[in-house]
Amino acid sequence: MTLEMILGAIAVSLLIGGCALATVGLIGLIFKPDLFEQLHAAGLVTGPGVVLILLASIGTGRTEIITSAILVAGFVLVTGSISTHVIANAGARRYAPVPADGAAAVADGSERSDATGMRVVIAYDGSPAARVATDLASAMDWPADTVIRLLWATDDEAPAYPADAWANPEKDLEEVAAGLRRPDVAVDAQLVHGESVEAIVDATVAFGADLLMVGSRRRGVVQSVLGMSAAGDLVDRAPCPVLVARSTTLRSVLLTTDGSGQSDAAAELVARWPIFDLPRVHVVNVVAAPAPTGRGRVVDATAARLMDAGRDVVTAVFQGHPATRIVEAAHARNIDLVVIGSRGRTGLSRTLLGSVAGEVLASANCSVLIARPPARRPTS
Amino acid sequence: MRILTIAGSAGWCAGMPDTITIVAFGWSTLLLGLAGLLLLRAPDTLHRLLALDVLATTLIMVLTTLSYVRGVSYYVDAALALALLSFTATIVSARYIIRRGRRP
Repeated sequence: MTLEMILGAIAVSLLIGGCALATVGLIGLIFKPDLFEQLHAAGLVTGPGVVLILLASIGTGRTEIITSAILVAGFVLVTGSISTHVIANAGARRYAPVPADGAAAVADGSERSDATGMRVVIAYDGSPAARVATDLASAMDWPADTVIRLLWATDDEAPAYPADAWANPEKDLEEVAAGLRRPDVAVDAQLVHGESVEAIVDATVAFGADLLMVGSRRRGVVQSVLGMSAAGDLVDRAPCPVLVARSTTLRSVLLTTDGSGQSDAAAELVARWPIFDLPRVHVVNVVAAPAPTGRGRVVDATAARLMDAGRDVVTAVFQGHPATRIVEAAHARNIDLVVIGSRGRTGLSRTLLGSVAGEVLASANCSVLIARPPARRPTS
Repeated sequence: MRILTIAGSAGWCAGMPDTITIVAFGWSTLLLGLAGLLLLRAPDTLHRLLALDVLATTLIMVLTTLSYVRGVSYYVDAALALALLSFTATIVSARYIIRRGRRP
């Protein structure tokens, strides 16, 4: 009897405490307009508030209620924090400051009248994946007067991979920079602190880069479902074309084209950038229906543009699901780099149908260069 | 009280007085109303998403306190199903918003 009374007293205080916390949280939610302040207040409701009320079940003295309630409490503790994280993540992207138009235009590459020297940022963090990016950069034929900036963005968390480099980032950066340096290619290194994607995007804008190169670390299922791939994030937010490196050579290039603005932007990069002087360029168009005769012209027009620019061009038209065919063709032809245009994250249809560039990026085994049409202005 | 508590089960609640559980149930219902108000006042999608998350959580509270009042466990099981659905909905909607990007 006394034990029941003690449990009852504890349960009553838990119940009152839970109700009080939930009330405070809801008042905060109603009076704070800012999303992040609201998240803070909502944490009281979805965290301690509901959990205390569930724990008050010990006062009922009924096993089936207590077990169910503890199950719910455990579940709510796990899912509540994940939900908050996901909403905060969406909010951080939604309300992130957009780069100034001027900076984006300079960084676009296609705005440049004559691309002799390029400005390249390589995101490097000492990981094997990032090492692939620097190896690829050292294998590429950069035009004279190219400036490469190695950028190590760290948020002071221990890396998930064993790395001696982590112990001394400055030294490692200097060694990699020395490996990239050529008589006409200047390389400098920079160590920045901050949430890595954010810091890399900011530094890329500040540097006025033509190209951002990153390594590609395969993420787990959970992270990719939650949209947490670093390379994918960078592709979405970078102000310039992004090269996701998975190979260390650049001997063959597959350019996808479909006659759209974004694929023209991709073709423009291949035509303009001197790094594509030597590799053979496979121009590929994937059509949904059996190819009508006129459809081949897209490939021919792009190929003509590239031949004018002195590229070594081969063409092909495939039929089927674009991303699948592109990845198959890249594999079959032993392609080092797929160049693909992306409209960026705009439009309802893009969200519902997914992006071909995103699919290719996710499933290809070779490097992927994602280009944007020049007039991409973030709306705010 | 008679309406809410199951007739003949007066002795089930060994430690918690009926009054407290009923007040807690009523209070949670009030909070549910506040969460509904929050949802109606939400200025954009993300605020609405957060308000829905909070609304589902308050509904879990209501179901739990109702289960204490009536002394049966089914309501907590329903709360578990609700928590699962609400979690899935939040994740999927937030991902949708992330992929849609900065468009208003």
